[in-house]
Amino acid sequence: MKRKKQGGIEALKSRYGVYFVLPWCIGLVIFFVIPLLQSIYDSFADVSIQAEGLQATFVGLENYRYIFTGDAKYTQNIGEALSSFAYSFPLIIVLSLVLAVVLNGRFHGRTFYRSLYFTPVIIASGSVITLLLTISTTDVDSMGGSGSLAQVIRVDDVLDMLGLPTAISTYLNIAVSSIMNLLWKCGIQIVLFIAGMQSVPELYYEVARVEGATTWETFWFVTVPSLLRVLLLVAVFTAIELMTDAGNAVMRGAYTFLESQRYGVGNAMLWFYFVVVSLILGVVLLLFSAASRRWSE
Amino acid sequence: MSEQTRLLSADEVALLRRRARAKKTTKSLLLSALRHVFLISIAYVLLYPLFFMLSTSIKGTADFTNPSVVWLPHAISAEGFRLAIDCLNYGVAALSTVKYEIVSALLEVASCALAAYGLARYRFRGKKILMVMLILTILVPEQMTIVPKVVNYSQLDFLGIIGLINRLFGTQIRINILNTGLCFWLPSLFGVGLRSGVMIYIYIQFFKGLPKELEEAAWIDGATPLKTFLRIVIPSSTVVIFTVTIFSVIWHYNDYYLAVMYINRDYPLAVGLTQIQSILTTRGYWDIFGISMSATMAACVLFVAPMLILYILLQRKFIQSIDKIGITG
Repeated sequence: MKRKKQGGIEALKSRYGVYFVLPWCIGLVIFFVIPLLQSIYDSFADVSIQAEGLQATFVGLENYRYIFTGDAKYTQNIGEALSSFAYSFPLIIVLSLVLAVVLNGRFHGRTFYRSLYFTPVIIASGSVITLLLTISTTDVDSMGGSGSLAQVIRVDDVLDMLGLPTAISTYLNIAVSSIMNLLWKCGIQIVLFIAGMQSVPELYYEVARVEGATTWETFWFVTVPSLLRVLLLVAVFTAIELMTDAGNAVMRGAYTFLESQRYGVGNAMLWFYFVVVSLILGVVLLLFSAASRRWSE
Repeated sequence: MSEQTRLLSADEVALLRRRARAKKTTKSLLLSALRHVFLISIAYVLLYPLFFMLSTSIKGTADFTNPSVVWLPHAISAEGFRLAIDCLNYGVAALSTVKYEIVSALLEVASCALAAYGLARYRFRGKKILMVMLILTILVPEQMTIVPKVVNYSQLDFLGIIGLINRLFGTQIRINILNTGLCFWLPSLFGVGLRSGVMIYIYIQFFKGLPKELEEAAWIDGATPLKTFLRIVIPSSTVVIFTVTIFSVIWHYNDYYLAVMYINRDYPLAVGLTQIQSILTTRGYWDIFGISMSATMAACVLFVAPMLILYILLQRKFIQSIDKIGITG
């Protein structure tokens, strides 16, 4: 009480700030912090369903021991999740940055193109896209029927004609056929990049023009440095999306355990994975902030 | 020497200018042609599943075996749609989508704005911790907290108050809010619903960019902070509110994970869609490339249609708001 009186107007203001945040804080405790702590505890416990709800008995590291020794698939799943992350993450970032730069230019029909490219934002991130992508890319192939992407573009034929070794052409073929999948994950990223580019002061570009910079130089020395913070946001967002995607191998594995009501093991799987992911994210963030500091010097 | 410094005649200057301009226009024409080719080809790859969906949904059984049918079937068949509406239980599912998902989507738009304003504009003790918590809510996947949440909802007990009452008075009160709208609405009302972290983050970015002067003037004129927020901040934030509303509605509309966990009947549309293939199989439509295929795609069309129509109506505004929202990271 005393402190508030001394603080005067600033303290009063800070009290109002607390009022604004208070409902969210309550919600945070009830709907986030408590369940999170419970799930940490559950990962160290043998959880079973009783009449009066879940009954958890503490078993120490038993669940964690099980996921590495008892369950053959877990380490494999983690490897799969990380390797698919390793190839899709950079592709998504680069693809969405390139598309955002192109869509951000001034040209005829850009509103039309933008509305086309924002459609994944409307439709993706749900069950429909899983259904659509799996059916339209795989089942049609087995139908031997009408034009799936691979048949439309015929990448392998083109590459064979160019005389590339088969190993490379198969890899490129896989890359191209997964491009559709990746493009569908770029929606929000493109939106964020464009929103970021719009807030780069026009002045910078004028200076670059006056100084006689080429488009390429302008991109690297004006656009990218001003986008660093948005880039960080996009990178974090993409990483989270990829890592927590329900189609992700670890998520699927853990979900089967949750479904068969082995909550302890499922939770242990999720927590270990979460720690690994957080460590990777942490390293990426550290590298990124170091890089951006060097850039701005 | 004299050769180089001699003045160019007017004709020569005009000629040079024309040449430079011609070079420039051909270059820019070529560039714009390249840009269109690039954008159209990527757009084709991107929208291919949608074309496929639309074309398959109106195919009849005969069209699947007919090799001459690629995109357009010979006769438009409504069989797929009829089956899809039946399997999805479309009317009921659409209603529960509105009841559970859309309502909480809108609640979240409001509650997140409130929390974000407090975090963006005011300084108070513990704010750093709250920002860390905010990042954590974005980071932690829903799957990790879902089981404890379901358990808690099956016997709702806010901070042990009901347990205390039960112990004091020997009552057996037990509140189960599973299967009701409350397990969607309550978290949203407190701003910790589906992806609320991202929404708060977008709001904070925007509020930080708003000029402070208006709010300070209102403060000096004696308006309470809540009044300032409602009368001044909200009206000048229509752009960000619009964007967040679109995102919120879309994310909630597409969510099936929470719905599967929280309720066990009258599922929203998104859940129906994940189950459509197994429903079709149990009903005996096992021919993958015939009617069940067009029914699956018709279900996708039915699911996407409301959002797509909304998007087509609002796209100009949406695209403009992307320009104005000004995310700086």
